[in-house]
Amino acid sequence: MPDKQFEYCTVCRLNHNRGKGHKFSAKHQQRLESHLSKALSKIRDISFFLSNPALLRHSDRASNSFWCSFCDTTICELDSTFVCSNTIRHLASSSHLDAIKKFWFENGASAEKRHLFVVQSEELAKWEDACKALSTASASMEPSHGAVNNIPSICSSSIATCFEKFSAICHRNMKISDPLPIYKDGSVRCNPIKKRSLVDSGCSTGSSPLHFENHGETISQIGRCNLEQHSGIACTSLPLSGGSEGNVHTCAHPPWLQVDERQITDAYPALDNLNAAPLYRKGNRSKKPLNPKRVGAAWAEKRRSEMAREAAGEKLQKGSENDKAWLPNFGGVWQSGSRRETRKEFESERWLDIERLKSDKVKALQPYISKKQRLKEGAVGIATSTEPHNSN
Amino acid sequence: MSYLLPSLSNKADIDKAIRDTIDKVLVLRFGRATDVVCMQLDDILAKSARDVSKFASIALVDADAEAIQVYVKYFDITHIPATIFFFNAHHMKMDSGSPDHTKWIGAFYTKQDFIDVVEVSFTSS
Repeated sequence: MPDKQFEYCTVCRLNHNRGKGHKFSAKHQQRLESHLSKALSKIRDISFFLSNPALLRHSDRASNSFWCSFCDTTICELDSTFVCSNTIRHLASSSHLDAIKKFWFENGASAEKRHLFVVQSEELAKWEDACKALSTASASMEPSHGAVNNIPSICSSSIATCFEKFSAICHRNMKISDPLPIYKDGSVRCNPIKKRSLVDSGCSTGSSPLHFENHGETISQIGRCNLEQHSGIACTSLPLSGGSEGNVHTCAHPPWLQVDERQITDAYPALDNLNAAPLYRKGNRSKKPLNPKRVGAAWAEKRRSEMAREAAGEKLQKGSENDKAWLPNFGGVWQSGSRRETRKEFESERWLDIERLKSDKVKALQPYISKKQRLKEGAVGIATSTEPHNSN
Repeated sequence: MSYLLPSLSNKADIDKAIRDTIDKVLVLRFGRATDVVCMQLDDILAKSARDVSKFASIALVDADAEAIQVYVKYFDITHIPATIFFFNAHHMKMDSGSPDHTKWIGAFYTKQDFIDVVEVSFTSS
């Protein structure tokens, strides 16, 4: 048998010198079948987007790529607006068709299946029409969608612009480096938020006086920023009526503790209809004991008993929980006093704990009694207890 | 996406949700069902609702509803979506790197980000 030149088979991933006879071998045919089925499943996934074009999110572009095993190329979707648009165009291209023909000739696959690996020009034309329709529809319905897709770039630039505007004002008036909470005065509020893990944030428009609150000092300045149009965050206007109740920033009494009994009874049927994930934990407490020092532990126990009584049909006293102790007592510097006092308190508590532990240990100490002695004592005890019966 | 989660449309519903959610984190999303960022957040909330169901409940609140303006005012909601966390009828504050610790403004990048926030809120309470 004359020596033939070595060739590399991409399907079998081996070098052989069997010439054209290799492609008719059973192993090659088997591997070719699996290779084609893999490629076909990938192309079928893409053909879903061929019939149903969808907009590609900016964040998903980097992870969206396709490896064409026939052309030995990776098709990236970094610049595409629609899902798999570059891949679809590649599958419809003449270069891909040539590569397919070459692959089929080299590996001896059946020609009947060849059309499955190529996107026809009619299909491509239909897809392009659908994409055009989709882009016009999305542009007319959601003009801000483009802004949402470009949040990372836009947000950083817009926040920077906002900070530049405010820092100029802040530097003149107060010695701060970072923008601090800004509270509104009127119906418009400006709230520049650093973008770290948020998708985006922004400032509301307006030219009303803004109050910069810094450790109790309030400095009024006129600020103007127009970030709302760049960021995806929408703004709402606060209700103007009732300005004296205070809000969460002023530690006002929370609205859920100002409950009218009639409203509660009316609310039951509406909430019972919720058929999604169960909103409330109904008595099925976990086996693991809960932390007694958890936030609102006292409230939870109280409310649970109230709910049990409500379920039994009892009528609760109106405003029974509406007392002054609704805020959790965190103790220490969070409640009152200085750090020094907190430390003293902590050390005294720790000392007491140590003392208690010591006393427990002293009580627990007992002389060692061997097993033999214990058995003997037990036997004696039994004998003494049974003696009266024996005597009788 | 808002139809996948329970929606609270009046004050009594919100009161009940906050008061009766015991030993679980309650996540309230104040927003608008038609807003793009709200839709993005709702998608993430709906997908994570089952995963966090053992230690958290999620509900949506329409910020434009007249009946809940007392909550909008109390929480100073000027930007939507605003996500607020509760535990045992206590408002949970969180330091997310923004000056406002009372709420989370905007959507989350991924589902896991939201789950992490809820988990931290639950374990720290």
